[in-house]
Amino acid sequence: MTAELSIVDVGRDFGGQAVLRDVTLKVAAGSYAVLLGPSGCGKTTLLLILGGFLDPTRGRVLIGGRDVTGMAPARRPTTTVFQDYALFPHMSILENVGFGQRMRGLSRRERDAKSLEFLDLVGLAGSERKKPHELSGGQRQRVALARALAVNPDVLLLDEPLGALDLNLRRLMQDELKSIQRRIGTTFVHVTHDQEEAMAIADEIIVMDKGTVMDSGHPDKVYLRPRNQFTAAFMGEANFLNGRMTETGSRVQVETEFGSLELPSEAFIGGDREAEVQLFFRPESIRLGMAPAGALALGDAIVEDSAFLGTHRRCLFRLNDSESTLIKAWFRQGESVSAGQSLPIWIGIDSILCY
Amino acid sequence: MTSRRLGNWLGLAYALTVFAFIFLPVAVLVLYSFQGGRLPVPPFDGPSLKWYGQIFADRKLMSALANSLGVAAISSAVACVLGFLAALGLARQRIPGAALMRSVIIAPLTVSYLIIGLGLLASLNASGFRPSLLSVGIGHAVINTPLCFAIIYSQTGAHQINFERAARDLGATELRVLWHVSAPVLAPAILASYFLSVTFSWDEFIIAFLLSRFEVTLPVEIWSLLRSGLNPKTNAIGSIVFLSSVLLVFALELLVFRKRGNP
Repeated sequence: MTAELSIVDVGRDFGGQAVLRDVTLKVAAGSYAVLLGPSGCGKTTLLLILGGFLDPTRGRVLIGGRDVTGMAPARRPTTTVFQDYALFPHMSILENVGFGQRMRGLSRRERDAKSLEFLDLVGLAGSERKKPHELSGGQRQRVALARALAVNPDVLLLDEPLGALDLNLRRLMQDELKSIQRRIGTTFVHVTHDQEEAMAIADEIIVMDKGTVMDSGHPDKVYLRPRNQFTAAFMGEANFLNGRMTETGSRVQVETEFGSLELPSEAFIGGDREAEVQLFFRPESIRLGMAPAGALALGDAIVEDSAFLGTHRRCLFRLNDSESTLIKAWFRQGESVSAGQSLPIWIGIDSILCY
Repeated sequence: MTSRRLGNWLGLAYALTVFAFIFLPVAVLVLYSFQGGRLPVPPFDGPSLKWYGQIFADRKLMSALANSLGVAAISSAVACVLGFLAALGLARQRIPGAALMRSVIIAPLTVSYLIIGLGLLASLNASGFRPSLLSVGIGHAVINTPLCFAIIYSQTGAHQINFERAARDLGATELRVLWHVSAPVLAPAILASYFLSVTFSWDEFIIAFLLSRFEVTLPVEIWSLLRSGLNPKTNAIGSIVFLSSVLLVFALELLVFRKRGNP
């Protein structure tokens, strides 16, 4: 089962402090949404509100068009995979997975059959007689998933479900979560602070900070065209340069300390254009060598640090004209760049955004 | 080297003295329950089981024993349920004045049984309630509820909140959350408090004496035996009482602490 989720003007106060402010968003039925943000941004609070464990101070939550605000968790078409899994320690894996059906009054035979089916879905067939403490972290995670899915929720909520797993296991579980979600079609809402995890699994990323939604959309949109500087910096490594904008007719010139350049109108994010702007570009869009015409040449820069990170080489450049600005750049593994060198670097116009 | 050895011997001697101080009276009591003669005083002229034969033939003593068992089993169950519900309520809910409520629930532990017994006697009289085994049971539930509360409350932790949340999330009503999740998760603490309150109720004299009339519990019956003077029969029944308490403590150790893997 699956349903559309919409959150309308939801806010939540704790002791007079607003931890969530005017959150409005829609998650399409059957899609995988990720709530992403630094700790304390309100993402877990929002998940608790969706699950019914916390009432919003303002606003409404609708699932499949039905208002569920104030409805008890037991009656909601949602289930939660908790961060600590919260498997019942005194019950076997089979009893854990069958708990929801037991509460719905199914006979033991019916619910055991159904539980085995879901244990099979998460790849744990054969472990049904064990107790939770006999399983590894990754296996407990799967049991928690099977238990939450076994009651056929419209919306599945996952609270930092992969936080306790090591990197390889986390990657494996990301792929599995996504494939399970595709197979059963339930709407998933997943909370994490890890932007790589978010991009690996999400159909839609919702970036949050200080209790509000900063940006939302498909991973490539949020990474490549972030709506604001916060999102730009949070989604990955980012470089910023000061600039000054001058408009003459339809042409938009931006003056920087490295010269002026003409930017296309789609480089400007947000409606109101101000004179002082920040130029934003990702480290992977920096190129070595002499700049072609029209590109932004940053001149000769000194390599402060160069580290080999496996998939790429990460360098820090100190710009000649600048005391403090360090530019982060990623190059191919084979590129030989070593600390102390002075090299010319440049950026293509289409990789630059303006805020 | 030698001084360390001497220290070890002194330590051992000290430990033996302490154990002798604690258990010698009980050992003497048990020994003279096997006395052959009419008085439980030296010289020992046993062993003989005739006093045990007498107590098992004594219908008054046996019915007092049954009364004691019944009162202990039922009043402890009541104390456990009340203590469990109070502990869970105060651990899980945000209640104004929770700290005050906690202290008020635990406070009776510090009040002497005599005072509690007198208070109960006065209240029962005022309400026209006849002293009976029921009133003894109520008295024991009153003294054991704070104990059960304190033990169970100490074992509640924030990590259990998500178990209960998960159960509600999967469709459990509040009653079923208590029954299927909260109680089993706290089972070691609940069992420990049950066994402890059974031993306390089993041994308790003052409240049982004040609040009973025709049907009495074992300690009260033993007391009335003692009024007719020392007799190996009282030693025999005393040994039975002691043995039962020891068995309960062992059962507690085996059932509760072993299971948790921290002896």
